[in-house]
Amino acid sequence: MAKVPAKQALSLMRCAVVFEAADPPRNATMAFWSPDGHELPSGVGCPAELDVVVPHGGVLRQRTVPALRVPVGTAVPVLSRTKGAHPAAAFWGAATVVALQLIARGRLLPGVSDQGFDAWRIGPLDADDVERIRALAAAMPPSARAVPVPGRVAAELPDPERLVRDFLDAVADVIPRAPAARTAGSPVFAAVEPQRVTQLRDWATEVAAGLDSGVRISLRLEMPDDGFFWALVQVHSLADPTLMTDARELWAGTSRGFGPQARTDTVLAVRRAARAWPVLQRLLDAAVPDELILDDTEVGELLCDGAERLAGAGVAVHWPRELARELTAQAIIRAPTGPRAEVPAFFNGDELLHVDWELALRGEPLTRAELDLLAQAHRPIVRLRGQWTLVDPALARKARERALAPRPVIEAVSAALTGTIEADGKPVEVAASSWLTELRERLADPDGGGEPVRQPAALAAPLRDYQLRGLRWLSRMTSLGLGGCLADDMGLGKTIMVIALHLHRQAGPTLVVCPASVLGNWQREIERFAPGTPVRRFHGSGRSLARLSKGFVLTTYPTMRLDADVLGSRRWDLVVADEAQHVKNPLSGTAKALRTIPAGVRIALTGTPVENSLSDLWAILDWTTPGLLGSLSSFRTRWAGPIEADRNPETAERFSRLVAPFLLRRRKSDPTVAPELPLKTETDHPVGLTHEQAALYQAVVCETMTQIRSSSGMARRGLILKLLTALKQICNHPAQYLGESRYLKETRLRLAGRSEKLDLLDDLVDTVVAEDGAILVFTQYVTMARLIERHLGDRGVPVQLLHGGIPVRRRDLMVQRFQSGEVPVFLLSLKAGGTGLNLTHADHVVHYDRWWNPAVEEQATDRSYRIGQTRPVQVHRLIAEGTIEDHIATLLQSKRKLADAVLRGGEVALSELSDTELAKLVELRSPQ
Amino acid sequence: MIDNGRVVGFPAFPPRRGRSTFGRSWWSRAWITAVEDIALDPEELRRGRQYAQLGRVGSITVSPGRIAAPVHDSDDALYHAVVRVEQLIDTAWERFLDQVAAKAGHLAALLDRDLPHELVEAAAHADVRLLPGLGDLEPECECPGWEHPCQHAAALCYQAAWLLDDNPFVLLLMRGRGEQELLAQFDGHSMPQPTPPAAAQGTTAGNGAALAPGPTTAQDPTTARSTATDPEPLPGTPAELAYAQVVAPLPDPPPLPTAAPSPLVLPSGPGIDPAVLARVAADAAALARELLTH
Repeated sequence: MAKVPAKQALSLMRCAVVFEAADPPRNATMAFWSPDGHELPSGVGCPAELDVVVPHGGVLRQRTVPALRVPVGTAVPVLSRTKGAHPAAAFWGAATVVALQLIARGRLLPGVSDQGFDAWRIGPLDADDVERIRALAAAMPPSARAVPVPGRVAAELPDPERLVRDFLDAVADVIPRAPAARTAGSPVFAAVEPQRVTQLRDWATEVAAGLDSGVRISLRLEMPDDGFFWALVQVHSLADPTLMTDARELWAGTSRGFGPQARTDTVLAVRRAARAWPVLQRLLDAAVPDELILDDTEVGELLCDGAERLAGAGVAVHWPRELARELTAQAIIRAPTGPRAEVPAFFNGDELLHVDWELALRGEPLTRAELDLLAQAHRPIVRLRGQWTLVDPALARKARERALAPRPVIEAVSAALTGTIEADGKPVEVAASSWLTELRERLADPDGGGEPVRQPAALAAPLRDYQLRGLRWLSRMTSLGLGGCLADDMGLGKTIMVIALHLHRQAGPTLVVCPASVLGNWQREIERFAPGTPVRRFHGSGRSLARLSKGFVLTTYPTMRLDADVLGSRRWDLVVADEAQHVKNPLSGTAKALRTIPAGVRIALTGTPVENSLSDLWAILDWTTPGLLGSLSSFRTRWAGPIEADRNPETAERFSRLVAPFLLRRRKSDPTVAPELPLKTETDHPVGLTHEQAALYQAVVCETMTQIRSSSGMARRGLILKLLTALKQICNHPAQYLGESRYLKETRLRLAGRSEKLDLLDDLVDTVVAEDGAILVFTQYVTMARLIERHLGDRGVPVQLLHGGIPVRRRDLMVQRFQSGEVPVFLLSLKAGGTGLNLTHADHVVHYDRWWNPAVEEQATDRSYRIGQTRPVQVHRLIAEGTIEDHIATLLQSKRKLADAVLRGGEVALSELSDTELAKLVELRSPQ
Repeated sequence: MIDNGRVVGFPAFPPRRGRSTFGRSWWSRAWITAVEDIALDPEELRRGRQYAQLGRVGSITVSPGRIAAPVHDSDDALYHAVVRVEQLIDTAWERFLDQVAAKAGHLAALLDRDLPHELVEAAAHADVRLLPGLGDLEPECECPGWEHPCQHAAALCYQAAWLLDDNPFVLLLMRGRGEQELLAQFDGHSMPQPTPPAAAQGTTAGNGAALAPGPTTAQDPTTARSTATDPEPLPGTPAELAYAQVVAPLPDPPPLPTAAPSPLVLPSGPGIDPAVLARVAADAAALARELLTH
């Protein structure tokens, strides 16, 4: 559907408008015209002339007025703007709402138009719908149907109900073909272009029969004095749902309003109903299928699932009014019997909770004596509280059983949150005893709660408000032993919240499993925010858990997988999985290994939204909170299937109630978060070197230092600059140093997994793209930028590269594309990016390599952080740990003098260092 | 397809790959047996089956007492083959209609394109032979061959079995009466009166009114409007009246749907995958919902 800009839409809605039907119905148009000669908006619709009947000086005159024709599909969103609308426009707006409501309820049927085209129409309608359509038609102002019916002597305006019906069908024929709704496959009933499908006429008749032409039947049950149940067949006209009669009347010829085919239609409808409930076959043995006697077993069957199956076949069953039918059953989860002091132990333990059936008549629970009466009943009706009551055999069985199988506690929590529990593979309504209700209320608001959790004294930085709320949630979930997934946007400080949690719990040890690229960042943040807390890396050679204290242990996913038994031999207080999307495949070896590590409680961190892919969410929450979502297969049938495939909003709502307490996700744009965010935050990301990088680095240092020691003057300076450049290139990517960029156009060039900087960049880019953000990546080397461009391109990330060689006009085009959000990743070589660019669309800036000159970096960052920037900007600096990049950064911070020297003279200043100083600077040190 | 009720033309069958079955339904198998029983030369039958499979038979015309079609021979010659079918006499039709009327299920089955054994047996009891037997079929062909039936007439008979599979009314038409004609006769034929209203007479204990509105509450017939039986455009409102009438206020908007959209269940049709259409409708429902809530 083409979109009409808001301004034109507003002026269109001030016009009168008539509907013009077409064949196929989707080709219908709305013709907007001005009754008082006002000018029509320009730039929208197709100008045309319209013959209308309008009052002129007290008499009606036929006049030709200018009009704008807009396809009905384009008009649908326009018509929803009722503010200040002309009565005719407001009327068609109301009709649009009726059409959309019918479509949203699935009242949509395929058929063949008079001209033989594929056409969707509204149907089947129920009596309420027909009433609504008639009420709507009665409210149609003349200006909404001012085009006279052709070929009449005296001017006539078209019948309003016919017009409304045609309009509804036109909308029904448009919506399924909107690109957002279109499912791939055959163009018939999916493409906008008319498809000639005369061969489908018989099929269309078959579709319509029993839906919106012909008849529908229903059963009315009666229980006369003879004690038998009678089922009487009632016949309803589908074309006019307000019309109905008994089959008996129809055969006796005393019903009015039914067409000549009604009897044959009824006979066929009975045959189809008998397929849903075979007892009805007996109706067909008689000459007139009007009524039959049901025995008690059959009534029981009907109560149990017969009526439901008939309802599925479109046959309603009406029970006698004098029989009470409000007997209901729900499950009640009983409170645990044992002591509840140790809550986490309670959730993790093997205790089972008792679940009882509670039967109630009109909401009043049955007494024990009444239950006994029910349990012994042999008929589907029982006299309860002075009234005959229909008893579904399944209910009677519940009255006999009295209880369901006991459930593990976590299942009870899940039941309390969703309000249902599974019994015999079907969801049953469940009520919780008071302690579970309390627990549910405590969990219900992840971002709130009133627990007195303060910032831990040992934490060396003040927590922002939302971080404190995050800590409160983490503390609540972990103290209950339940775990959860913290899925805040990148940059909100998930790491510091976990550090605060560790300090708050005062337990330890805490194991953090994360990608290698963020290992260094974890260590630095812990050292910075929790000074004095022991932290060690369990990574690389010589890793050991000996003399483990209560502090942090950091490890990577691959190491964890290798050493799962070593890590699993300890009892961890807290296990944290950072970037938990790495274990979203529950069948992977890494995910399996992670599950074997025993933990008091588990927290998953991720910046990628997980709630969109339900099986990802299952994998993460089944690790943090085992049992909450059930097994993967039951999860698929109970939740993922109905939500993803059937789009059942009720199930989706229930599901969100279930997972909401276990998932804290806050966006940077949330009104409770945004005001607290600083406009600019800077994060250093220390990353390690891969084996390939480390080997190259050491070889280059060793070889070049030997040469440097034996040279002097200009030659020495030249060698030093060459060394520095080589080392920086190795830190960036081995391919840059090895000159592999000449293979850029060849498939054999492999870049992933060879540089931790690039791997980290992948994670950052993925998160930013998932958050709908935009990212600038600066590097001082065009070659490196080209390698990144190729790498991201291979991964399907839209990216563009700006360097000094690009002409101004193309540069402006690129800036425009970035600013409009078309391309989320913009690579810039710093020199090119340094001047005159305004890139305020970015909310993340990455410095892939260091300039050792904060002023230059600052200037680059300012591309995005400028007047006009409304979003907070996060700056990421990637630093290869233990390398020259790292040493110089430390030097810059600690030794102002050197820093000044570097600032003044750039890298040349470094060439004045002594051999020893230089050796120290370029030496590769272990980060441990 | 020509269809004036008494003469029905069916489009030619395209060639079928692999071995097709002749006679999926029991009544079309009975038809084939009748054809094969009169055959003198099994070779002609074999060729007839082959021609049927290869789609050498043109459009088949079925009319009372007769089926006919042009058949292409292997040397590309075109021959008109006809099979004459013995028609039922009017009194036999009366007896048949009585049998159909005795049980609502019989008519229902026919409408559902089913021919119950029970109906055929009941008709036989009333001395009405629906399925052709010895002497009921008389093949004829323009071809110079003299086999009985020749390969062309045999091909026609085999393809006719496919038509019978889809619709047993084709058999009744061969026997003399068309579907529309019969349906009108079923409806008008001594339509049995319902049994005395047992349930309604022995009134229910206490309050006899049932939950659903009974026939007494049916709508005033003057308001009844049936779109299906009303192809003429509705008369409009005289413009003078339309402008003079007081227009009712706009009704309240319908409530936002709370339940999931009812899934679309469709029969399959030529080139139609019901599951795909159900998905299109579900997607449309989701989009409509989104538009409603925005």
